[in-house]
Amino acid sequence: MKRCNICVIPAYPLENVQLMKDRIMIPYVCYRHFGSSMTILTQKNGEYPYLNYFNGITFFLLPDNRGLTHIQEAVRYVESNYTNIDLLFLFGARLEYIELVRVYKNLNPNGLIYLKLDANSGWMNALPLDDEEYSEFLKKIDIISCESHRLQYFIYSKWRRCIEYIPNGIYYPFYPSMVEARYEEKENIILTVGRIGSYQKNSHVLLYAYAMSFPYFKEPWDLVMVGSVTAEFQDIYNKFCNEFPEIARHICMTGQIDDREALCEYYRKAKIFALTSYMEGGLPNVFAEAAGFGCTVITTNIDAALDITDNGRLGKVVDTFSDIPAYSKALSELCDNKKYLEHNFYDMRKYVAEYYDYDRIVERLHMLFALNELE
Amino acid sequence: MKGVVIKMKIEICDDKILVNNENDNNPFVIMKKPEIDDYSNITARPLVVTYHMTKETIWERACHFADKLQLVCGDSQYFACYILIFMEMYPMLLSSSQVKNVISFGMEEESEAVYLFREFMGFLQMDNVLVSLPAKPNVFSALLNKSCHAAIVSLDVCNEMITICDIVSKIRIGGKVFLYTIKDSEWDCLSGLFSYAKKNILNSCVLYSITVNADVSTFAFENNSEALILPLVNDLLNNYEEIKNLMPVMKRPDERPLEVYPYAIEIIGKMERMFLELYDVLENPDLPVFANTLKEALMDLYIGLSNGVDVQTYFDRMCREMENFCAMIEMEFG
Repeated sequence: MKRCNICVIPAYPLENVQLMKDRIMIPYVCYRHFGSSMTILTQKNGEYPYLNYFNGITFFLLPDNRGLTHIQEAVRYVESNYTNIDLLFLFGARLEYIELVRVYKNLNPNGLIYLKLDANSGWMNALPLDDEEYSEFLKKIDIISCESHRLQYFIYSKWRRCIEYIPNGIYYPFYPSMVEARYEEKENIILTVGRIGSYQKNSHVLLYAYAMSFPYFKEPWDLVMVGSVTAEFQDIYNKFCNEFPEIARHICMTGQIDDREALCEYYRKAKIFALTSYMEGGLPNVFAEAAGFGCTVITTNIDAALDITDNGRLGKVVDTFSDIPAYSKALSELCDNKKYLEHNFYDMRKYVAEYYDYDRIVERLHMLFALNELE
Repeated sequence: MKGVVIKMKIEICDDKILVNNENDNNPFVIMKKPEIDDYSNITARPLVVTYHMTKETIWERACHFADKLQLVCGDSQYFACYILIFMEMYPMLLSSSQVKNVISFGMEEESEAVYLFREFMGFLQMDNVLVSLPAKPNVFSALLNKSCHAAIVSLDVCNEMITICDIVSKIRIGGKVFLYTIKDSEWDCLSGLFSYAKKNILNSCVLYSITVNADVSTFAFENNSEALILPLVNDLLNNYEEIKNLMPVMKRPDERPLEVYPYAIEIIGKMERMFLELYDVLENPDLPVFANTLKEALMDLYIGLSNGVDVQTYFDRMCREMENFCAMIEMEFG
């Protein structure tokens, strides 16, 4: 496949924080490997300081003063610029894309469309596959990928078409401190990163599972929760502090951390990375970051749980989503197993380098594009 | 579809059943009362009363059928079709005392017309059956080849050669296939099959009647869905052989020629698509995704080898996935 012009169109106006996620990282690494240009289209949605990380790309702000939505403006752009788009990157099997895909494929039938689903099985199960327009939209997509093998099996059966497995990974050049991480620098920290208290993140499970484990820890362990906190969770946490002041002293709620180096410091120090989500859109981006710093993962049984832990070899999967005692038991076992945590530091980093390095993932994607051209 | 429905009226005379229509003075004969003695009737029921029977005869029941058809389907666009089907089918129903299996495809499943045909057939032979199949092409996988005496098919619901050949494949030699339509269409896509058909026209309806002989049967088996599947399966197995031939080279630890992998990846990609084409007939519907997983493992290994990194993990995984894949294929086709 020759070098190509890449265009990325999110379904909704892009936020700064999303620049560092798969929706931009994957096309960006594609651009570094085999792109001759990369354009991101979005209506403005705040400031974009993270753009400084991306060299050579065009960040095109769509007009937002003509009464048209973000996606309507994107369609207009594509109508005028389709000859400069060889590879169209889309994220999420969203109805908003139907018209865009129809227009692009009509104007440029040889153009390639790649859709990264960024999905979980609940969402995929709810898609209107029996709707003719929607099903036509999916047919027009050349390559579709999802982020976990479990989901791949599910969608394969449901959609009866090729679905590739392209996980969310890590772009090492953006994490210079990752290479230098050493197990000796790690502390007894259980870390979680995300929108603390959102329904999806199920954060109260971690809080109370930690509290249940606390009396049984052979050594002191701290819990660090990084991310913006919902008002509901703040209430829960305040009550928790009143109820268990001794334990609360070992819990740190940092709030939102935008400084990436500061966030990396937490990954670098933490031995355990904890996920308690009910569901995740694909594979949590934070996983590869944590694993890249050698954190051992404990997670609820989200779609990507077996991929994250290499079928349980590199971490613990708790089968149920709201079983606090079960989560607590798994957490205690993990905290007590010093040898495993140390050994896992190396194994996890090797596993991430082998399977979650965006440079490698994108090489595979490149091969898939080339195969698609052959067909 | 033809817009105007011409009014037709069935008339039952002493010796024949006719249909008259408003624009034509020439009545159309549906059935003639048989001459006595007519020994073509070999069903348990008497065809006509001779001298001592007082029970209902086939002739009387045919008249009753015609009456009822007028009453319940007289306003239907398909009225003329049902008349033609009856006209062409009753000789077959009377031809032997064997129990008759008739299938219909595309007729409304529990319509009055189906009910009337079923009742008439049941009168002739209590165990006769008319099975109204749901109009889904995969329904034929549930039926034995050459097992039915006749099929009644609405071309307005189904006009795909593969599906119609699937239907014809289910009809025994000597059986009948009735294809009816009210559409003004040339049916070019079915011309191969229509060369064997007799065409009847009544007002807005056309009925193609095919007697299944050896030639028709051969034609059907050459064009049905099985005929499409078999070459695909052969192709698939040839590709599998190719992969098996490549395996020793890919597994040689000291010397793994790089060019083998893209070739193997291409073949596995092809197999993945073939599995998807065969999806409905696979015993193991996970086969396409197994192919995909193997493709992924091969790509990982190839990329690792190309980049000159330690590939032991990729190699082990590729071997594991290859083993799984081969075991699944052997189980499916072995």
